[in-house]
Amino acid sequence: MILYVLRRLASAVPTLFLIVTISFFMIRLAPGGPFDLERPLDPVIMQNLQRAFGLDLPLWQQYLLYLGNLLQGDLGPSFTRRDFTVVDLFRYGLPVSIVIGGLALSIALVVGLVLGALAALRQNSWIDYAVVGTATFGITIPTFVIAPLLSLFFGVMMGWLPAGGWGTWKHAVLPITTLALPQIAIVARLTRGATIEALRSNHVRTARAYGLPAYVVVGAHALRGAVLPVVSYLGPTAAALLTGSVVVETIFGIPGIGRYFVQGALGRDYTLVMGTVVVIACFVIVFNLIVDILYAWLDPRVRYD
Amino acid sequence: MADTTTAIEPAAALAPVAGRSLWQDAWRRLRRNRAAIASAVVLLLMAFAGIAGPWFTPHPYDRIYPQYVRAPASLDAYPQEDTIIPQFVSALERARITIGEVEVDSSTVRAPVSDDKPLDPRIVRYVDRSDLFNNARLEDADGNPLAEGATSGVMVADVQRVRFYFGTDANGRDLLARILIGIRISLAIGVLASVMALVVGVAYGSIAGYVGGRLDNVMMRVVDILYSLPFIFFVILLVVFFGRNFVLIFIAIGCTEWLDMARIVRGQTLSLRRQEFVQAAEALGVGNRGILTRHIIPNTLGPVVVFVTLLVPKAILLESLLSFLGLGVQEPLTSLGLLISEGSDNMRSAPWLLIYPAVTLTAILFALNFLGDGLRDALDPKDR
Repeated sequence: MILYVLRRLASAVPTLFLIVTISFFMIRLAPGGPFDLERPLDPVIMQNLQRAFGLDLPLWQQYLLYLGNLLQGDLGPSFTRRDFTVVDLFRYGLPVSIVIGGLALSIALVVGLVLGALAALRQNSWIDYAVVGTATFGITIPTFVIAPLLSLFFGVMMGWLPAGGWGTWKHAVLPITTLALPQIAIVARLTRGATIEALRSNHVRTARAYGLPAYVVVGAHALRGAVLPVVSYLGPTAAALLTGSVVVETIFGIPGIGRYFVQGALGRDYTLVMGTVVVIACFVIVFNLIVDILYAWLDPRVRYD
Repeated sequence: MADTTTAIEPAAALAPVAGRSLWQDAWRRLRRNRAAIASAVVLLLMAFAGIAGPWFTPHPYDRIYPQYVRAPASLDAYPQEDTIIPQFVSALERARITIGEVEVDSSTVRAPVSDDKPLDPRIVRYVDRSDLFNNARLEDADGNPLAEGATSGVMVADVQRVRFYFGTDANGRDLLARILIGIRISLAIGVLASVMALVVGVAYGSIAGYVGGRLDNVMMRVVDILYSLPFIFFVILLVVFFGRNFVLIFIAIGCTEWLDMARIVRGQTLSLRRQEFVQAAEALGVGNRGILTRHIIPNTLGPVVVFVTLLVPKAILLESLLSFLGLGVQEPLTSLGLLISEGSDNMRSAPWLLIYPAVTLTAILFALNFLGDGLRDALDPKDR
């Protein structure tokens, strides 16, 4: 098992390298540069700026320099937020995004699993219909509709929670809810489908025939198989949630890292874009690995040797 | 009755029983699904509203009414009675003349005006310029046009009644007209992007699946590589290269959505090309092109149709997301996503700007999803 993990981590290096290379040259393909303003800068100032950030070198040299710095954990200075390095920006923003995304993920997992399992156990009852109906709602309504509506209702009209901003736990309630709702819906639907299937399977019937109590049959035998699709869905989703959401962070004014990619790409903040790509790629790789390990643990038929 | 006729006429008995095609079967199943039919009706109404609606609204979607910025949604006509006099006075004050008591009746507003110099007839423009009044004129006490050189008279103007059923936005544009245009743009982008994904995906997938071998391998690896590129990255690149416009957006969405389509069609094609009717066609000497277009592609259409109906809401969502990030269609043109984004900026002072577009978009998405689910049940009964 340890060998497998090590092998997977080793194979992540070339993947990461490819991603870095492709995105490095792609963002450079885009016309314009980080120092373009409405009114063109004085050419001398422009030259100095470019020299200061190493943009006057040939592209391949810049690329090698970037790779070299990356190996030392240096993501370079931000081009548009001049007082910060990219690593600094992530040091401030990433914890915020991880807290919000992580809580949303945990809530989605717990609530979604419980609702989905309940709906499956009481198939075609009112609980089932309520869960399926609510799930359809949650999947259909996009985040950028839910987020302002929640903010409007609870923040502006009722005044129970702050409509936006960041600071106390109260500020986190609405963003976490916004992020969790669609995930709850999807997890509940996946769990419901998989549990219904698992309840009909042979090993669950065998467990029943042994006379095991219902909670053991459901909890230890049916659900164990039923969470497999949820786990494989949650791998990429967890990476996406933990690295922040542009929409939620924009609407609620949260200082996370979700906005960095779009803002960086629009402002040609090369290092910020690259940094975001690297961070997101690391998250995706790590979570895919976690999913595979969980798979082997949950499903004894899966072996990695 | 039918039995007796068939018994008498042997020819009729030999005639093949009118078979029900896959599509007829699907149609029967779909008709029984009330949610899907209701959704289809909603969608047709929305499409009609988007196509024809903008011609029937009293206001063009890009007409700005500076006096009616963020006017709340209301069934009553604007201007409200208590705003008429202050607006009239403030318009007249710009003419720097002495104003008397202002009177308002049902459709006109009048005020005695005087000055030390003869009244210039051009001062009516100060009043006409306002969105509230039109046909301003100077009259004497008896209601006749004011004689030239008079130093006092009555300024009369008709009150212009306008209605904003959904209110106006932060620039003073009618929200109803903008929502109708938004429906038009969002639906158009959804449909066009899906058609593009359909054409590219079906062509690519069927060729890869039919030819097979090394070409299939290469083509599907290309799909895998494109798959791993982040969508937003791609769109931002396209937008900065070619500028923001309507055509580009649906091309960008179509370009990212055909990958799934290609995979589905390839899978279908792989299983179809081994079947007897394809071999029969080959034996009869039908060319590759003929087999693909006459035999393979029509048989892949079931899953493809289902996928397309689910693709349309996805494309609408992507467009809305792009608009939300400021990469979508450009003002004064608008889409539902852009309206929602503007609405969330103004929700404290003007919640209707958020609520109406949000409800509209949600209704469209719901209808499309239910219709897609209904079609899947209808076309793919074993998948229930």
